[in-house]
Amino acid sequence: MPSQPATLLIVDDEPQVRKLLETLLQHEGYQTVCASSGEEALQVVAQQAPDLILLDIMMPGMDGYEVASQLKSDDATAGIPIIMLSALSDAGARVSGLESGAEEFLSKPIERIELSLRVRNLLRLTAHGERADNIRQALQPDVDRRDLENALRQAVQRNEFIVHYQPKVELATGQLCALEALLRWDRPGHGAVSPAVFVPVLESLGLIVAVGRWVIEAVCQQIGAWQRTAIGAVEVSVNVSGHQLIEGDLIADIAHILAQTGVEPHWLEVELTEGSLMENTQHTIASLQRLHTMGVKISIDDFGTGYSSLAYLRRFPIDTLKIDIAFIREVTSNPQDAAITRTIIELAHSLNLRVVAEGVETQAQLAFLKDAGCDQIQGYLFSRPLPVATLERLLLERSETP
Amino acid sequence: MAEILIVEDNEANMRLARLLLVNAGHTSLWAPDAETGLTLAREQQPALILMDIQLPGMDGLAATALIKQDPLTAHIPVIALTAMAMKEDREKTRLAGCDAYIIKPLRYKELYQVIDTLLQKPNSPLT
Repeated sequence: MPSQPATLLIVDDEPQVRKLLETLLQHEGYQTVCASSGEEALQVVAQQAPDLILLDIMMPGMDGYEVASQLKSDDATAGIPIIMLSALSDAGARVSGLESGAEEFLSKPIERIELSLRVRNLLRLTAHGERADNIRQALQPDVDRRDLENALRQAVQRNEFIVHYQPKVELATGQLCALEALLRWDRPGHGAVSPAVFVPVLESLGLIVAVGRWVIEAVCQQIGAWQRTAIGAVEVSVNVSGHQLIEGDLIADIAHILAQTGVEPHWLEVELTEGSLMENTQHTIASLQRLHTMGVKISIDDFGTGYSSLAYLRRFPIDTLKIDIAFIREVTSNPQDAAITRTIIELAHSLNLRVVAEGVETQAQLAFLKDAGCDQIQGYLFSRPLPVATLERLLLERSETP
Repeated sequence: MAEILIVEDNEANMRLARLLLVNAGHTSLWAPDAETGLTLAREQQPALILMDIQLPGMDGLAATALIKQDPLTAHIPVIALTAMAMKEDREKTRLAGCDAYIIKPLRYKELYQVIDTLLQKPNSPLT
């Protein structure tokens, strides 16, 4: 990411779509400029070239194809990447868009995650390209990627991963009540690499199932170790990716690990994102039912940004909803985020689910969540994710207080 | 803050919509079918209508067309809630007179954006 936030131009004749894209992208930290027609878009670009353009195809007057061909035929603007917004399953539109020079496509209705990833990837590719041009020294993203892949393969073999734990606090008592396990990797010679970077690579290499299993094993061994000391067993949640549900035999692995470590199932909670629940729904429901029957808890991570309907909440055997961090970030300043947070908490309670807010950093956020009836919080206000040694001191203090 | 009429036959969807509205400071009315919706629109004069398109009996498109033909209710903005996703479908809701269109299952943020946009617009011929 460049240090200056990228400026994105949104071109759509529909005010609602513009507003939605604007909100989503500003949430991601981008600057946005809007145009309601093709003609206006060309004027905006002429005044100040954006870093990327989101371009609706169907517009009265000049349509998206025409805007794209004009921009791509001018040397001054040909380098600006374009993402075209097309109607669902419209193959003809995609081909015409490719002909007019667009780099990417997004189908409407627009999925938040997909939007954010496509924008990010395209900006990164462009940034790499520019730097390569400027300093005439190829950055070779392919080579970087291959290095990272090799390093990750080695990391799996050499077991270079560790688990940190972030405490969750029960708001009613102010006490530490549970932990979230977070995967950490110190790449030799490079330092800590963010899971946001290496987890997708592990997924693409097909290694996420093995690493995911290792995390569950490490966590259960840890719970087992704690329950033999003064600390006692602690509930720990583990992030599970959709790949683990679909590709591996997650349920058998968990059953085996629990038996081996002697940990009761209710100490373990799996966290799945809303998005991964929506993929392969039948299989996912069946898997989650089995976990639920075993007694393992199930939590939905990043709740509230997707198609968060009551109907699907009722279909999955869920114990916990975790409010998306984006809502908590502005819960005290943005009335819509505040209303969504209150809605999620009430929705959860009406279904007898527990609600957790993550990313809590200020006293004001804490006060809001207490007032709204949230059950648990996690975030820097209480504690960052901790290595085991530091965490154990905290857990011991807890068990010593009456 | 406004009174909003929800025309929706599915109770779970209605409950979620009502929760979202109440938490944003609005009040809500509920009609489980188009006929009740038309009556409530006329009698209660809500500031806005959330109209499910797939309703038993008269569908939401027909109901919206009637709302927009009736001088008593023509000024009330209508948001279509629909599982349809194609541009042609959106065109149908537009032809029926809907002021906006949201695909179900709805996204919380999008619902708020659309409601705020429509409520800010002077929509009554008297204002």
